[in-house]
Amino acid sequence: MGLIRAVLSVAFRQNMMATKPAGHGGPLMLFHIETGGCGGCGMELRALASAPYDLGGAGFGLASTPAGADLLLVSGPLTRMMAPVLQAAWEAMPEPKGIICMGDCALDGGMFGENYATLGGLERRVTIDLRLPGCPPTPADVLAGLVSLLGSSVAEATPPV
Amino acid sequence: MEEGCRLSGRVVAGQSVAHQSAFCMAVENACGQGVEEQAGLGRVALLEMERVLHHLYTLADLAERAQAPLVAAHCMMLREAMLEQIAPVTGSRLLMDCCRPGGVRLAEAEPLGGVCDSLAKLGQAGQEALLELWESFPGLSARLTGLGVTRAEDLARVGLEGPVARAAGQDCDTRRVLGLYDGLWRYTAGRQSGSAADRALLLLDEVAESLTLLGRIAPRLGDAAPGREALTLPDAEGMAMVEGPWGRVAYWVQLHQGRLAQVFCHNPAAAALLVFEETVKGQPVEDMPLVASSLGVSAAALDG
Ligand code: SF4
Repeated sequence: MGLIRAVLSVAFRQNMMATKPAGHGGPLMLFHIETGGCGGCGMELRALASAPYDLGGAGFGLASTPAGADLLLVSGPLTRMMAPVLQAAWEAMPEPKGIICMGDCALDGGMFGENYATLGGLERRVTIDLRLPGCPPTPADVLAGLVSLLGSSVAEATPPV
Repeated sequence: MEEGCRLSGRVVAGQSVAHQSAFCMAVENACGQGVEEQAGLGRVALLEMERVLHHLYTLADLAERAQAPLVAAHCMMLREAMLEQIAPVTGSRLLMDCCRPGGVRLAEAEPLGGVCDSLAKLGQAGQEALLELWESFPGLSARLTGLGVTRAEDLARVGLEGPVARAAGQDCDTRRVLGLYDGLWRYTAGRQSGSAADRALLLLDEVAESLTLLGRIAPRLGDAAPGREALTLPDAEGMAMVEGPWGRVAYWVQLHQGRLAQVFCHNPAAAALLVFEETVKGQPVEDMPLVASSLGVSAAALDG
């Protein structure tokens, strides 16, 4: 009985928040890479990818490999250790492709800046297609930013959290 | 000082209150000054809110990796329901920057007692339903039982305490020795076998325990806004510790000429990694992410 209730409540909450994107075929696939930092941006992205948010309903999915992704979503400052990993992920993505920077660290290094361990953010290094500032940006902020890529209404896609 | 405090809250997300409160208490100890009672209680409330949110997030991660997405969804939904109440008061969904040397810093301090009360009510009903779902979801308990069993000698050798040790039958919790928790906390959680299943059930126990504590603290917090003491910074050293979501978090600070000269931080991340390395010996490769998650192995905490 508990199990049936659980199934119904998740389905109900997600359907309430689903917003189908206008004029876009399949979902835009994001490959998330955390290049350093505290992990807070990653936690908020995870929250966005879980109930009660409906990332899929808004027209986005999380890719498990860069080869299956349209957009590279970077969070955290670029640590020297992760720079080659980021480069490899970018090169493995098919064209056309773009970069999203989530959080102050990914943009300009945030709290961590540029030092012996980190190269700072991506702002001065590459062309960024979507900037999501904040430390961390909330799931609603991220969803609003993502939806703006599709040209849909932000209000429609933001769950009442 | 502000920068140091902000940075301590970003050593590892999900444990910001633990890091920032230990940092602030270390600075206050160096100054030889305490905080007023309401601010101390406010910190306890924040520490316990963080524990509940962190454990629900970890349980969701475990359930997801154990092929139980429905259970994961329920953990995250309960967490979001709580965040709806917490975030307006704290000003941060991850409870970052809520502690500052000399007191607390909240977006809206007055309703903190009311939020504790309603979290306790909302959470207790949600926790019971979640526990029932966790135990009855087909295959979930079986998947975790006997997985990633920790050995007492490994835990003792690397000094790993916190929920991982408590789920192996050890009685270790920094809250026991902290004056902040006087009259509020009593140890009720305890599992014995040290497997991923025990750790998951212990986290669920601890969620209930922290919610009980929040319910108990609510009337003492009332409507009064916690204040903040102005600190005079001498040339001195101070040390403090709290029980974070994965165990003890300790800070040592040295103040010099009115500034923060040096900081040392201890958290359980390195010990968790060492226990992980011992625990996964002989386990299938595909079980590694699940075992790592149940032991609290975190790259952010390790390089923090
Ligand atoms: S932007 Fe803030 S939350 Fe995100 S990784 Fe950096 S410090 Fe953490």
